[in-house]
Amino acid sequence: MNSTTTISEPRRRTAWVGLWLIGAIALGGLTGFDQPLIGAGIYAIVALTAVTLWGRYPGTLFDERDAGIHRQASGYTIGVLAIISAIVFPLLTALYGLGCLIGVLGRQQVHSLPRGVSQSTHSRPLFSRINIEK
Amino acid sequence: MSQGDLAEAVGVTRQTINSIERERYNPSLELAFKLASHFDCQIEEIFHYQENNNE
Repeated sequence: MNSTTTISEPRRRTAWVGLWLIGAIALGGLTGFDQPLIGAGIYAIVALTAVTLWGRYPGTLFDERDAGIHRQASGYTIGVLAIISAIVFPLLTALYGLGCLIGVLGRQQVHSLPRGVSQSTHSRPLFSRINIEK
Repeated sequence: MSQGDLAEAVGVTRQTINSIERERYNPSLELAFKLASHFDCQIEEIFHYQENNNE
């Protein structure tokens, strides 16, 4: 019990951020190395430790200033996403309309081809298939 | 009185008290009232409104 009060507030805040970071890296890294269960296990342990660290602190670890920082960060994130959405999605639609994305989309369709259907025939652009049929 | 003691008394972190002292953070009205109440004085005796500092 004494050990929870001896850790200072700044160290506890640093530990809070560090633990979540370690958990996220472990989860992402081990999932990448085909070990998702171990990654999820480490993440759960780290998350539990972080929450315990926060819950057992007798003072205030996060206050209105942190809430303000979170609000500001959320605003920036939403703003960036809004700008990206306003530019990227219309651009992708325009590129699709111009036929620039047909190669990419054709490649994606190959994965869902039924058995017996030729890959090369299926991935051809629509207009060339019409010419073949004629 | 240390920053930590004051922070504990008004229910915020030591960093918040430090930021207020260094004029890097404007406290909420609630926190301003708590601080005034703690020091048994008026808000105006602790905080001064500056129009340029608002933005």
